[in-house]
Amino acid sequence: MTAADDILQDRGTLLTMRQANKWLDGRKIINMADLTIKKGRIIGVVGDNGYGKTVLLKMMAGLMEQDSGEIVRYTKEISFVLSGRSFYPWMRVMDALKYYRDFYDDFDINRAQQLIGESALEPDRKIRLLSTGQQERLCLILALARNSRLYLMDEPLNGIDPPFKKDFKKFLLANLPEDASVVMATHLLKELEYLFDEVLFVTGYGIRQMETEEIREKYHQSVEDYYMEVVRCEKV
Amino acid sequence: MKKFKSCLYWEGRTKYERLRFLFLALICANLLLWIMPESWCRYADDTFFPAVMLLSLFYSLSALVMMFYPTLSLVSGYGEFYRDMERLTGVPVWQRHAAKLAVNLAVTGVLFVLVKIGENVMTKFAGETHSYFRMQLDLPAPEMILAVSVLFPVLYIWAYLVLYQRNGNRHGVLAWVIAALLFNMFHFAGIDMIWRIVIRTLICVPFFISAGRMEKRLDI
Repeated sequence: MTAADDILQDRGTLLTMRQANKWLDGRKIINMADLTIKKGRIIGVVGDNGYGKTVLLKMMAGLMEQDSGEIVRYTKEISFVLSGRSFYPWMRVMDALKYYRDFYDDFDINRAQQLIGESALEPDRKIRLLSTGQQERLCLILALARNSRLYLMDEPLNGIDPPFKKDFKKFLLANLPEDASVVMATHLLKELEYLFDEVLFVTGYGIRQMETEEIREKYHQSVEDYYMEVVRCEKV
Repeated sequence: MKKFKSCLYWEGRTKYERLRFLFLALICANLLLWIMPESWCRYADDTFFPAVMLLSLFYSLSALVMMFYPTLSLVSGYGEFYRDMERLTGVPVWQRHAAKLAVNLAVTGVLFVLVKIGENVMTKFAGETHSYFRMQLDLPAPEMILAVSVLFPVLYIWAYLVLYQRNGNRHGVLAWVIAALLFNMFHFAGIDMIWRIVIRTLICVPFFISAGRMEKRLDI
């Protein structure tokens, strides 16, 4: 890290990407990404299918390396919300908790067990036999039971039942540590845009980072309308 | 060290969950055949020949699992969804590989003992003109166990990743051929077993390190 990075870290920056590029199967998925994630922000990642939202999140988590450019993580406490298929086929709910306890020092297993109980998930049930919504809920609980500074979520509401979708915002905000940030890829802009402080628009031409308030006040549009009418139709 | 111990535990757990029915079946078969009087075994050989053949086939397949599973288990996770869960723990690649190899060694050792017991108890069915499942080893047992569970898998994963690195495709069979050629290149006749093990292990170290570096670099 450079002296400039030290300053950024002091100012509450959790992660920066500088002109990061990523190719997959001969196609440039991430194109010259420049973005900054600060503490205490909830950031939506919006883009059409196949434009690199998942790849972007995996690069932030360190699951994928950029082919060029730079990603600087100012914190190691990054929690990536897995999908329901991301466990060993034989694992039960309790096994997942124990796995997290064994590998993550910041994982609070008691809190996780409490959330599991509140969500009516059976600890002895095999994860692959849970419904999609239950699996997603388990993954959220595992991630939020870690006392991290940055949470990365890739479409966390996929397959979630409508009652939990409704309670998701409350659940997230109630269990998020103070000053933690969330980066969340989602298609559900209408439901979630008022949760977001910022939005990352991921298009085929690049990534644009904008404040949601700026979109509403300057352009007098909802974030969803702005995305559909403006971002999708132009080069970033 | 704590995370390495955790890797050992979860890798052991994974292999146990995958192989426990095989272990159970081997233990039950061995126990049953051990307590069966030899006269009953001869009678079964005369009257229930297909059943005895199936039993022999079962032991043969178990021996094949013992030979092939440790190697294939090193690469079977590539492309699986649970790879993200493993990689997100932040445990260095070489530690994950070392844990897998250590568990391989233990599992292969146990399987070898069970299959060897099976070989012994199957002699009860042997007649003057025929016999059933027998293991014929080219190497002494300890050397064979180490080769099958650690040394060959290291060469295999190295070859697998080299091929993957070249064109992004998985060439399991070709990797196996390359690993077999490499393994057989290091043939030391006339040397004590312990020195053969030491030399072969030392030769595999750079392949182990190289495989770890490749896996880290590739999005696999």
